[in-house]
Amino acid sequence: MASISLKNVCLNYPVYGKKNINSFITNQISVGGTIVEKNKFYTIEALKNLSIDFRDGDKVGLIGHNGAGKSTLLKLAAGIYPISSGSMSISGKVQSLFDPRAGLEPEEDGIKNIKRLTLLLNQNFNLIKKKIPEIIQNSELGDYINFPVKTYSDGMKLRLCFSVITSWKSDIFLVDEFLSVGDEKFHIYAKKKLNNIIEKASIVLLASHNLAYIEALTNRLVILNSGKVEYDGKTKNGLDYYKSLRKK
Amino acid sequence: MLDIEDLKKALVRFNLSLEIAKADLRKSYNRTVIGPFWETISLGLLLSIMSIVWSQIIKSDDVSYVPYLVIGMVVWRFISQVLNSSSWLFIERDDIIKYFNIPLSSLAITKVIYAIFIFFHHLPLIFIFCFYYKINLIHLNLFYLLYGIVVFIITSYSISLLIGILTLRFRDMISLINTITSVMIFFTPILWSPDKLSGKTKFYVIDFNIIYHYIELIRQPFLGNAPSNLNISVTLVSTLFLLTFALFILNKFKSKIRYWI
Repeated sequence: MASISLKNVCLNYPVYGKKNINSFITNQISVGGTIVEKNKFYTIEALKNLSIDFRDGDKVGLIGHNGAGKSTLLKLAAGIYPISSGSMSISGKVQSLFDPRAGLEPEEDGIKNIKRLTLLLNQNFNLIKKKIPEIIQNSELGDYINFPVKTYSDGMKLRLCFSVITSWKSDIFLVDEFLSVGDEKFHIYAKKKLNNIIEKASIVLLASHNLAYIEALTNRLVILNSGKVEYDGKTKNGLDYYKSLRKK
Repeated sequence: MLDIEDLKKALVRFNLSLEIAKADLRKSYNRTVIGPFWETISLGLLLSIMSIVWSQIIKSDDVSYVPYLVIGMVVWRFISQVLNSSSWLFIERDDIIKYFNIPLSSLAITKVIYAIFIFFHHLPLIFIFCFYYKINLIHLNLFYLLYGIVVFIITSYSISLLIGILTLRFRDMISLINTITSVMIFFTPILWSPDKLSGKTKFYVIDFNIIYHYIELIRQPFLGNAPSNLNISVTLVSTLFLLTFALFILNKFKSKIRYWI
């Protein structure tokens, strides 16, 4: 049984190399976490006392303003960022897709990058090796698979990533917002692949500004505001609430 | 206390380090015809010219000086490769560190593998020059190389990790390490023999120079001799110390490393 449980979790980013800010223009800040200054040292409070549980069957959409803490929450669950205080427990195999450009080697062709991604995502390449023809077919990249990745558009890189990560099953799937890339054909492809991932995984956390994706693919919505949960409930009701907030 | 877990995970995921190192090598020599063998050619050319000119400048017998110079330079290239490339260990991999949950040791191991790849392209030069100067390479002292190789690999990993963390936090360290590396080749007995120095200068420049002891671990077995007891004990202590210190620093700052990017 897969689960993610966070109790009173805080995550503060230390900011290095920042020169003194003489005065805060607090009224104008509508993005990011709260900036805190202590002894001329700055930290950003990305998540504040967050307590939330995700269980089997939760297909969660994460929305909120830029810097609300969506990506931080995902990276926390992926084990990339450590928590500053509180506690977190995760059971199940976690898989993440954050940035389609990350980890790819631009000078290498698609096939070599399939191996690279597989190893970066901690999968056994000997098992995946047999699936390479299937991965190539799923990517729909055609002859481009033999071309260096530097010749790919963002949409093509994402196709490569999607086809790699859908070749195995994960209990928990974390997807960050990158769905603005690509043309209409790509969006049809991305939706199909995301559906595929969502069906296979027990828990999905999908951060996006694309409300159409959130509505179509999730059954639970979490709205984050400056590192805090503002809404946690059914997707449909949450989206209505979010849209009403934006109108204000 | 020590982040042995990170090292263990990185060793389990050795294929990841190997793949990144192989990709880096392919990238360095992308679209060249002879690829990394440029390493062999460029160092070979340098050593050929040095063997003619330097043996006369420092008035040494070329039969004993040239193999000494060649082995020393090949080992030095390995050391300088590890020192200089480790300055960028985490900085150049920000995309991997920020988006993938990988052991940080994997990246340090990548630098060691890359340096070994380059070393293997320099290694034929040792055989070529030793063959030319009729140095016998088949003798029992060659077994000391096994100790040398193990010590070099462990120390390179530790140093790579330490430099990577230091340069990530303090960016001035990149230039400092480059400067130290370029000075050390003249400070260490590579181009010249230790017997050119005497007294206190010899004590401070040679006995206190850890790099000299490491070079001797590889140079002396190739020349048919055993490394001295001092070479073996200094390198053993420093290898164990550096490994412990690197794993301690990793454990202490691991939670901050991803924020320092």
